[in-house]
Amino acid sequence: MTKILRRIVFFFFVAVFFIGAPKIVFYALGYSYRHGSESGLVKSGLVYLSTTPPGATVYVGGRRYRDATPAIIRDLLPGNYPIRLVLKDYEAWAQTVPVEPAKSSVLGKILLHPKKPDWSMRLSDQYEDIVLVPDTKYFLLKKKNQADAVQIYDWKEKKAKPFEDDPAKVQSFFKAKRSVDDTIFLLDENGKFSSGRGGEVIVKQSVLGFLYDKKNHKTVIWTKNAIGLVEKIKPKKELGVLQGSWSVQWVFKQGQRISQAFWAHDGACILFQDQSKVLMLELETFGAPATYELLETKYQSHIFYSDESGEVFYLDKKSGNLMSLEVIPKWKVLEIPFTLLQEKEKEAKVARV
Amino acid sequence: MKPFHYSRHKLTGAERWRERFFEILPGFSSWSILIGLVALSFFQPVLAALIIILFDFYWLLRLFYLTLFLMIAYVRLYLEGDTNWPERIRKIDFLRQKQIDHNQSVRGWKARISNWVFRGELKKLHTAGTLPPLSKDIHHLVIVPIYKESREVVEPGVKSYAEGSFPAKQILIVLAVEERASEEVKRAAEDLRRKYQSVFFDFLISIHPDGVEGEARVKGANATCAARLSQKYLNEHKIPAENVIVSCFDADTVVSASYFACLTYSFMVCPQRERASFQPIPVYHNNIWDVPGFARILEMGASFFQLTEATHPDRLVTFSSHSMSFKALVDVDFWPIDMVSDDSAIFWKAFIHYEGDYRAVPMYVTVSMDVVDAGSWWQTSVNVYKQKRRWAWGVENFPIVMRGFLRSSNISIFERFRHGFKLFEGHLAWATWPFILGVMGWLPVFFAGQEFSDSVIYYTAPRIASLIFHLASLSLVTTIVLSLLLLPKNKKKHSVFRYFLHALEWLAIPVVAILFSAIPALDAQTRLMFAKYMEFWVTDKRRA
Repeated sequence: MTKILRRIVFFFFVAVFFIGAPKIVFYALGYSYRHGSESGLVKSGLVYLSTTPPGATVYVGGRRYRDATPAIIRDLLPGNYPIRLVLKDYEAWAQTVPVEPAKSSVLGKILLHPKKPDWSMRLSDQYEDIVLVPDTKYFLLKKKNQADAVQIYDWKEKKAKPFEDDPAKVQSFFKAKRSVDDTIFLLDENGKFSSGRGGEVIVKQSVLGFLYDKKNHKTVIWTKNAIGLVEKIKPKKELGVLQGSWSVQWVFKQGQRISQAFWAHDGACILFQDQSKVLMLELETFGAPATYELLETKYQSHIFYSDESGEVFYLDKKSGNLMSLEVIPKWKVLEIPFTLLQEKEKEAKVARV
Repeated sequence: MKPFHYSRHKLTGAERWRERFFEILPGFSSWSILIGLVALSFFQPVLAALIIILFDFYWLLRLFYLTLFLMIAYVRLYLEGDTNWPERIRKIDFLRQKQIDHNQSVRGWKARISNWVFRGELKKLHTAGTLPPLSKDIHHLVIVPIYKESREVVEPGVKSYAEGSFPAKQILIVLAVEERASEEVKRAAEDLRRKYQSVFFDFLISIHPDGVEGEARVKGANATCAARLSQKYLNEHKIPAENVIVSCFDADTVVSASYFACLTYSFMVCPQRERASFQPIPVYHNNIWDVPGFARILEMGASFFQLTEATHPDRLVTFSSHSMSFKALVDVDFWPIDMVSDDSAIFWKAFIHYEGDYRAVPMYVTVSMDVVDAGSWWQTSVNVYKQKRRWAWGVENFPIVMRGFLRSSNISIFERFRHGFKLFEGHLAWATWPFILGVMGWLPVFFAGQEFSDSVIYYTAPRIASLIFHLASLSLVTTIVLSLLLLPKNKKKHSVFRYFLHALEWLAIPVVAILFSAIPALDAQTRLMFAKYMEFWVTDKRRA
């Protein structure tokens, strides 16, 4: 190969680099070229949408987008975009998503609701209540006035067995487990909720319970009427004293008698019980969190939910049978792409209620 | 002016400081790039992501560029596969004797293209007016340094020198045996001499004494000892150094049947033949099917690199087994006796000695060597690592070459910069690129804070990288196809499944490149940076 030809090839590649490199940089930073009368470079943003289950058709402003979820819609000029997700056998999902220049609007854990809920009857006996045993694969089932009044239920294996021990021991075990979370937060009998280390009072009274999500470092608290997210904020110095390193964002205030709450869908939802209703509160939103009812349970009984199984266990309203409802279809949860594995949980801009 | 001292030893004053500066520079630069990118990914992830994207794009273009030239080089190797080199030599002899060769008939498209290249080379030779000696007056000196290698490893090579298309009676073989070698090795050398002496012009054995002052325990010292012995021998037989081509081969080197004929042709047709090295394409086919997959693809990669380099004669540097004018070897006072990387060092030594008027001429003919094989998978891995580190230790040439360039006034600034930069960038790329491509690219995402994960680039960067790697797979597919085409055809028959598995082995290249290319290179550069100099380590080579 002659020297001249080699040089031509070399300079061709050099030219490709110097033409291509700026284009790639601009594209990576979210700039796009606007055609028409106002032609020029504009700084665009993007929207990332991922649903459970995946494969939902995406409509942006009524126009169908080429990719199904998970999808990245890029080159969007700043503004608000009505987005609708449609998947067969699931309720349509719709929201207005704001797009800011060079920013990504992430809705990475959208939970689509099936049109026909997937209920299963697990045990046909008549039960009185469910007692939680945190950090184990069991919960207890209480019957009324019978010899085998308590049963252990393995929610992973979906099997029950009689519990011959003293139920009081179970209660003490339950309390002992709670102390793990108490190193971070403290909750006294009057409902005063404070931080475990600094002793800072976060809520003065009425808190009935809290749940700390170790994986996502998020905490939910509940009172009789409300559900709140506990957030760490940068402490401010006022008169030389550090003030308020924690704040509570109340995301639900219409409760009647909230008794339980669970983190669901990897911190994107809160599943809670209000009187005999079990509701789901969706936090993955740029608007006000949406709440919808999942089921009704037996009067004054508790429920159990684990994100590991994606099922909520409850007692049937009429028969008292142990039932389960698949809330998160685990086999349909999309394996998150590698690049997003390390994604810090996007703090969806949840509006104060 | 005193001749340039091509060594890191016995330096004084400013020369010593310059040497140390250039010894530190490659390792320092490689570490700075790697640590800098990690730090940047942590503190300035957007900037780091942009740099990595640009690097990926640059790498993709380099890859396409190299693949293009790899294909061209392969086509050239393929075209020259059937070339009748003795016939070509005869034609040059005709030219020398001012006779006209009437046998001009050429059949087939391969031969036509090859003949077109040949005519171009003849024209250049004619224009230069430096006609070569007649082929009958040209002699080959083959030096084979031996230390631990058994007869089973050495003999196939010696046999291949005898069985080529060039008359063996014009080849002088010298087995350069280390004094410290075992009696068994010495006995094997003697057996080979007895068996093959009558086949060649002569068959000598040189014994390189141990512990000579000023020498390191390196192959170059042994080869130099043999070359000095050969010089005396050639003088005694009144064979001028100008008519001798010396080849220094690894003990396991098996040459193709046309090697010495092609070498003779390349020597004759090169207008500046007394200031040239001749570089064949090294392949590692002797035991290619008997070694672990990672070792196979590594050596294939080395062959491909050399194939690509062959298409750029103006930047070609000698590597592994190669040949050169014996006169040039004598002029530059033989191989360095205190350096591990004698194969590339001899090129740079000659280049500086002749003030840039020295070149490496590519030959489209193969020499086959062994892939490192130590028996077990683990030991082979260790040995492959050590071998690659030894290759990467070629970085020891950089400070010496740079000192030579600083001292030289006759080599143009452009040439000095071009060669110096290529040498520096080559070693830097060797140590850092696999890390940047395989690991660093993910760091900005790994360390992503809230601000970065909210940005567009957090999503666009992986997409761009993914597109680049998909496009790069086109090069990988080309490489796989060429690797299958290059594999030896006549030795063993393997099933289609075996070939399929071999193709799949290439998918491991990102991991293999980090473990057995980048880390050994970084190791070598770090040693040089801290003046922990290496000595020659003999690679284990076995025959099943």
